[in-house]
Amino acid sequence: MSIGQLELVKSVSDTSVTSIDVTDAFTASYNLYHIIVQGHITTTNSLIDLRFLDSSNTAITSGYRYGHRLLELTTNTEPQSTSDTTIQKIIVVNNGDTFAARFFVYNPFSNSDYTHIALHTQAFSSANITNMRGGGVLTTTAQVKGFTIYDATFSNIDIDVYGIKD
Amino acid sequence: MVTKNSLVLLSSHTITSGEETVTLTGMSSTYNVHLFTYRNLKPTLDNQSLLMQFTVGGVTDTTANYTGHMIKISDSSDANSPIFTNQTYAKLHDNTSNAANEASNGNVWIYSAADSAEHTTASVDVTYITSSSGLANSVGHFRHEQNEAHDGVTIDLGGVNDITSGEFRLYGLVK
Repeated sequence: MSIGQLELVKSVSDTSVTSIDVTDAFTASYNLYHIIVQGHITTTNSLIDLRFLDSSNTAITSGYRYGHRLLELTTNTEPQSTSDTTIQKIIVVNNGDTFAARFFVYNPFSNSDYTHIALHTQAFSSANITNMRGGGVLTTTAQVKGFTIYDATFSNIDIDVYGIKD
Repeated sequence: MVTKNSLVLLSSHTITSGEETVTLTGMSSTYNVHLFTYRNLKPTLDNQSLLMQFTVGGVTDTTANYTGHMIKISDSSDANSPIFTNQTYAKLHDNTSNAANEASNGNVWIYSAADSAEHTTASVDVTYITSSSGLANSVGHFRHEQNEAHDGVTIDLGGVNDITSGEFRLYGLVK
């Protein structure tokens, strides 16, 4: 019997933007989401950030903690914060080029649990290859309906949100 | 092209009061890749380690063949990189919180589980709140270094410590 499903619930694309909102992506139908982000930036040394959107699809600007580990050809650095207005540096793109990322998001629509995100990201440039793993948490139990990705100039960006059905 | 039912639920279990372990079975040669997910896992006692094992014929495989490398990435200190070899379990992470709203969430991709001629290997991503209310992520990989087929997973918090709550799912990725 097949009762589990990976279901595409939202696709968003844009060009020549500095941010992209993925609204109404999270619903009561799923507790766990798998998100794929791909794109290209035109700004150099971009540190792309993420905020969750509340039940009114407004960006939540406090209560984030995160810890990542960059795995680069030459250095390993660890962006981290115990209190921030955003989850910083979800993607690090050196010198402007293509990037790809996949996230797992846990419990976003719940009113009783923190929303967690686990990250795998990869960026390419002529000078470096940057992989990153880690994650973050929104330390409130408020309902989350979406997210915004920002802080770079995206020549194109494509986001697919999949719900993993129980 | 992702289609409906490309990820098929094989087994699930939800804990709402104390249970010592969780075992989910259903892994088979129908799938090359399996995905184990859990969310809102919370121990009865604070500051516990989360352990994972595979099963053979539905029985937890406790042979000392689990070898792996995990990196703990926190929000306030440098990462450490515990390596374990020939253990009777794979430690996914330590220091789990049992406070309100604080829990562990994670996913484990499992490869070659049903192949009796290969080691079963796994890639781990966990995000959790520690007993000091900080954020930590545990990422890495492990394998069971014995050529045998495995048909499931067991989750344990060690000793007699119970799991107070958690939702556990085992999926197969359609070929």
